[in-house]
Amino acid sequence: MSSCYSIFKTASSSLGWLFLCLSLIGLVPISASAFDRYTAHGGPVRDLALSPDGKHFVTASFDYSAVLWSADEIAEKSTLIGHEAALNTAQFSPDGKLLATGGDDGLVLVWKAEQLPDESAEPIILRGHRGKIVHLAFSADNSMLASASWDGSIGIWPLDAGPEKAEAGVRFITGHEGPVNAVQFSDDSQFLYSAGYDGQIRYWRLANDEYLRSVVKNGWGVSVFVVDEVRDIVAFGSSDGVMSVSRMSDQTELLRVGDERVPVLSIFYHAGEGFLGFGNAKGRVLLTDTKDWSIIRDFHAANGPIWSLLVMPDAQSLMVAGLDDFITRWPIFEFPPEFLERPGPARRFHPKQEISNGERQFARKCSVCHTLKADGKRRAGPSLFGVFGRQAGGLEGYPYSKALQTSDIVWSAATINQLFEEGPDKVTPGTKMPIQRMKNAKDREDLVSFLQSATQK
Amino acid sequence: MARMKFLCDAERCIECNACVTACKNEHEVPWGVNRRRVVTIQDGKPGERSISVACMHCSDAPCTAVCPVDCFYQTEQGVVLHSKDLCIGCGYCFYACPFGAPQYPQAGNYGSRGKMDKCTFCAGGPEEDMSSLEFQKYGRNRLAEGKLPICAEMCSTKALLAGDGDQVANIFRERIVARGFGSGAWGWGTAYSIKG
Repeated sequence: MSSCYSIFKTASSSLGWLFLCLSLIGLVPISASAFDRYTAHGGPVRDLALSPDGKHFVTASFDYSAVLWSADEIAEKSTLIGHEAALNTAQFSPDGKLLATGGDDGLVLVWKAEQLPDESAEPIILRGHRGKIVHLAFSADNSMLASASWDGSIGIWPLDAGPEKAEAGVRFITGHEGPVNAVQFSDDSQFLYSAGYDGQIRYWRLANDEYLRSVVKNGWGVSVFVVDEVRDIVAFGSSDGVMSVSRMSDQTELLRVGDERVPVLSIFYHAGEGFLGFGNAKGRVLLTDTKDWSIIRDFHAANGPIWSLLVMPDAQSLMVAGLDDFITRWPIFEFPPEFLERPGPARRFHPKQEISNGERQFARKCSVCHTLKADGKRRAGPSLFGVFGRQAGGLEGYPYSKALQTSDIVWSAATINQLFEEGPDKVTPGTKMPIQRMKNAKDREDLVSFLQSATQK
Repeated sequence: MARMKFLCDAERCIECNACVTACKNEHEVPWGVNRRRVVTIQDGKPGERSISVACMHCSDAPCTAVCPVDCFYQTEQGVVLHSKDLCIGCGYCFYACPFGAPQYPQAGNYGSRGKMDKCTFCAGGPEEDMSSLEFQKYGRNRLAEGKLPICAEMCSTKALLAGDGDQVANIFRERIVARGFGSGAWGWGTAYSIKG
């Protein structure tokens, strides 16, 4: 399922050189160049997590799945299915034995690393949050997992007795005003840092879950952060566009960059290799050298948000995830600045061409989760190919909810119309499908009409 | 037709939070959601400013650009609204918004994943104007009643202005002339691609 595109690969042929030359003189757009793309998901990719040994990484996607990749050849190894909604975050434990994922379903799933290559790996499900999980962090001694949730709380899941017992021992720390966006344990696992919509990076004592102080008071929400206690630094990205690094002890600012009021959405820090990177909502990636905070790279890697970024173990390339189904690998040092253009084709849910109302309804409201083809491309929802006449829950291979597995609905123009007139929560209660209604009868009619022709076998 | 805009004059905001309270009360906004909030920057330091902020109803709204299900739309008056029927609660708009405007309900009334909520410029939503369904989902439609947003109406220092963008700009321009310096129109340039 993976594919890649590279102008350097293309340029090895004479046609490629022609394309390259035309690009440079402006006759051919030079977007979609100088990078490799890898597609395994059928929806936006929200997070990238590298295993401690550097051999694998995991992507967490809107399509309800996580994918395990080999880091050297960037090859898809297995798909992890278990969440009942979009995934937002993935994190390996420092000892590499566990992988934790969190999603819109409010669940934390813990996967045993040795089972990850197995497609049928069964995760341990940790319940307790009342909102989506947006970030996870393990303690350095592997004894705890922290979860940041938009329910405004931080979950502390004890792992001493194994992840199977974590739910029984969970406790929740509250104090942030609004959603919590990110968490990190102190090096000694005795304290916790957390960042939230309230613009603060708070510092907690875990012995009694006491709020001690705020390391950062930014005003605007802090989306991402990282603390290096050894170097006495805190780095964060905020919703008002600030990419900041400062000393924790005296709050001296060491670096402050960013586009004015373009939210910063991702951060990557590797103390050993000396990289600190940020990604923002308009596709900008900024990579700095932590020795002197000089900027190594500053370019637009996507036409849209950078949800996550990761310097690969070779320290020569940067993996970027965003609103597209694919992840993109950019060389850090090699390519010339002429190629630093904002790439990105129109997404299937952002159609630009003139199309019929029914097709537009599908493209804009359904296509992020469904494909019309029979090729089994992964999506959050099942393929709609041949959906008319199909029993609800009847597509082989798609992991339906129990509600759909036991449904007696047969999809037809009338039942699909009913699904969007009344809503999935009424027509198929218990479904994993988000609650969506289309109140405009003409739009529903056009959509059904389009589906009737576009999903024919 | 008028292009509706907000302007927060950071030189005048006294962080009284009347706008926040008025909004919550007017629209019966659920617990855990503040459609408007007052952000204080440089708190306790030189240059401290307070800014009343909500959805600015941007000309080129970033929430619209990232929404995977096309739930945002702009009215003829430039007000950016969203359909809670279509919203799937993915939260992408929350991250994309430079004003932190879209809110995620901590106690969802719309199923386990919730629906995003945000300031409507007191213009309701895609339901029938001034219907009970519109009020329940989106709050009061004061624009349909011939009124302007309650937050600006309640602002005691008139730091927060709302209404026809041209008139709002003229008022602010007069202030700049009177006080002799131009800072304060926080977020105006970001929202409307105009220098503030």
